[in-house]
Amino acid sequence: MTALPRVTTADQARADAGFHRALVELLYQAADDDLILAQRGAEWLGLVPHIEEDVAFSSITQDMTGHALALYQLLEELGEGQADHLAYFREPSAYRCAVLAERPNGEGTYLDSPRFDWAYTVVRQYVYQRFKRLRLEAMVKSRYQPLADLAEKMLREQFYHLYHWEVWMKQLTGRTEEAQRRMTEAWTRVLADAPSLSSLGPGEQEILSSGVLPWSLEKPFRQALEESARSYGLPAPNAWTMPEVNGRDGRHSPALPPMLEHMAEVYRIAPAGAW
Amino acid sequence: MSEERAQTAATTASTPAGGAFEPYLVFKQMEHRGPMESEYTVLAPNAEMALAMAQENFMRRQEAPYNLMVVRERDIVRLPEELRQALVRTMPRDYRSVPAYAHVARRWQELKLATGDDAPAPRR
Amino acid sequence: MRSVFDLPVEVDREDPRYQAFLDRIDRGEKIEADDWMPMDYRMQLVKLIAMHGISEIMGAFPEKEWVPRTPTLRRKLSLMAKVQDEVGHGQLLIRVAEDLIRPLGFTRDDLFNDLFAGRLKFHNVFHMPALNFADAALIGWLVDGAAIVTQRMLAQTSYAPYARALRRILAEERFHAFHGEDMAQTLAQGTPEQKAMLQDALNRWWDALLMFFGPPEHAGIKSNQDINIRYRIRSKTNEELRQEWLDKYVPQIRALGLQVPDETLHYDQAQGRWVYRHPDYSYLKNVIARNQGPRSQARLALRRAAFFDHAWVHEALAAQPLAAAGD
Ligand SMILES: [Fe+2]
Ligand SMILES: [Fe+2]
Repeated sequence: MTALPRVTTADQARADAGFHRALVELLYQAADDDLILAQRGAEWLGLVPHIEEDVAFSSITQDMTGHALALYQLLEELGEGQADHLAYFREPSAYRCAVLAERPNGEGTYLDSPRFDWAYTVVRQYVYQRFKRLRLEAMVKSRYQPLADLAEKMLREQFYHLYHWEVWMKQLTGRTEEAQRRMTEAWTRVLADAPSLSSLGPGEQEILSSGVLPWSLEKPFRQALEESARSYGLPAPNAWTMPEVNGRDGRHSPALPPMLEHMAEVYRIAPAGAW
Repeated sequence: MSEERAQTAATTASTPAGGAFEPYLVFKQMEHRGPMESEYTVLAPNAEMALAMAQENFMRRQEAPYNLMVVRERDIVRLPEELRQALVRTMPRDYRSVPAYAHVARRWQELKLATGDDAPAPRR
Repeated sequence: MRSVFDLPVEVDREDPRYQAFLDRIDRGEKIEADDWMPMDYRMQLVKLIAMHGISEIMGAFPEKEWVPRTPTLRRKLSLMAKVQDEVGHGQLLIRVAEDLIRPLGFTRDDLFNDLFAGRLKFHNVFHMPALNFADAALIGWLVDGAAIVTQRMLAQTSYAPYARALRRILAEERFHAFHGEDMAQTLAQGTPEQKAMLQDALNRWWDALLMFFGPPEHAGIKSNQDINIRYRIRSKTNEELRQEWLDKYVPQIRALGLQVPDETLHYDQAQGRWVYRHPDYSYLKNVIARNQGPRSQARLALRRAAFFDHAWVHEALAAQPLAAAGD
């Protein structure tokens, strides 16, 4: 891939159909991951176990929403349509988020009897940020210069996100029996979905061969999770089986369509209008 | 504390096993609601002694601060160097800044806030 | 359940420290947390600041309900940041209240238990439903506007830690005001449906907005205004604050082409004040103070869930590492 020249503008990218297709695919994956997991984060506002953490968590959620917006703007430049329209107004099957991002926070909804699971949230956020670090590091080496530049900026800011959840992982493991039980249970559930993150979907070959991403993320991600399991005293990720639906090919869990429906409830009143 | 005992303790502090004397950070506050400014440090056996000595060590001329504060240095937890990257902010956060909303005042002007109104002059 | 509000409030007015304290207040000096203060001063502060702080926390809910549905990413960011600020205001204020009750042997958890037991109230506006997206705009615009008027007055308070918290809060409120006005302007200049949403929100919120400032002085409802003014905790009356708010916002409401749902409202040039129809202030005492408003119980339930469902988190954080686990 080193032989392939850098692609520096959206116009150049659009001139190469295969490259363009692979690039758009990866951008949707990354943007949708951040958008959808940030939506889960936004549901937590005001419900977090500790006031100070409510504030800190919200900044991460805002940053993730900002990252999603920046990625949709790259897609906009590539001719995919207006950024908000991409965020709010696609069919569920057009979303490329990993199934892990869309899982509910727990039982109930944020409007009615939320029984949200903080252990699951900590573990999911941690595993996602661990993965996102690897994806951003790879994106920095992307052949598509605008993406490499953006990834570099996001990476520096994402440092806090991973660090924040590392602290929570450390604080909730190895403390009380109950916390250990809850964290182990959450870890097991998150691990079952973890392969959905590093999957690049049906376009994987093209994404890698075109140099949109320089390397596959699966191996480094599995390695990172093995290390995590060791440092937090959690079960090692033995099996690596893709969940039945992983999201990357547009097939999603039943949680996603109502989530999108809810998200766009107001947008639909005046699509593309000013709000 | 007698000078003799202080002497002994200070000597112990210089040997790792003793540890009775410790560095304290001194902060001064020049006025009532002013910031607490970090001064220098004193070696003291406890906070009370640190306070009692701090003033004349660092403020022995004219200045009379409103208040003084000491904190045992090892009670201060700093972000280690390898984590200081966490303080970096690269993406715009202008959505929460006042200058990003300059158009709001402009729109009120266009809407001619006060004209034809029975109200007093609007204030901002 | 133990409550700080059950403590006897005894003040020995013969105590020489009492007169010295009053002299300090009269000289315009500020009181710090570790200064001597009479018990009634301390308890007035606890009541005021804990209610203020808890209202910021409860006040996050009505707007937060619309964050996941906010229809553009940019607006979503600003609304989220705004709601986050409100939780942050709650944090600052509750910390100030905690420092006041700690010498009495009480903690943050006790304040939350007071909230759940109905002994610690939160502001009337946050008992109201936010039925459509324009409610989120109206809250940022007019409810924050009301809070700003009140907080600007309270920033002159004699209690220094409260004044410091308010200084930061007011700086952040400048963003809230612009954010709210921006949303209101955008909806009012949007489609007829958007404008109708905003008018509908105004109709539903008007009485609650007037009530926000509390009953006027001689409405026969007992208030703590007198003692608060003596101790220079506050410097203006409810009605003065309400008039200030009307001064600023009635012209804005009219400029947006919206109708105030009170046809008697007008500015009386001779008296130099607004004349308007007072809402039924007994609602504050009979409904709101009893947590029987439209959303009182539902929002308390949200707060309870945050508090009790996560007891295990607090236990884990307070615990020492288990022997087996290394750092
Ligand atoms: Fe606030
Ligand atoms: Fe506010």
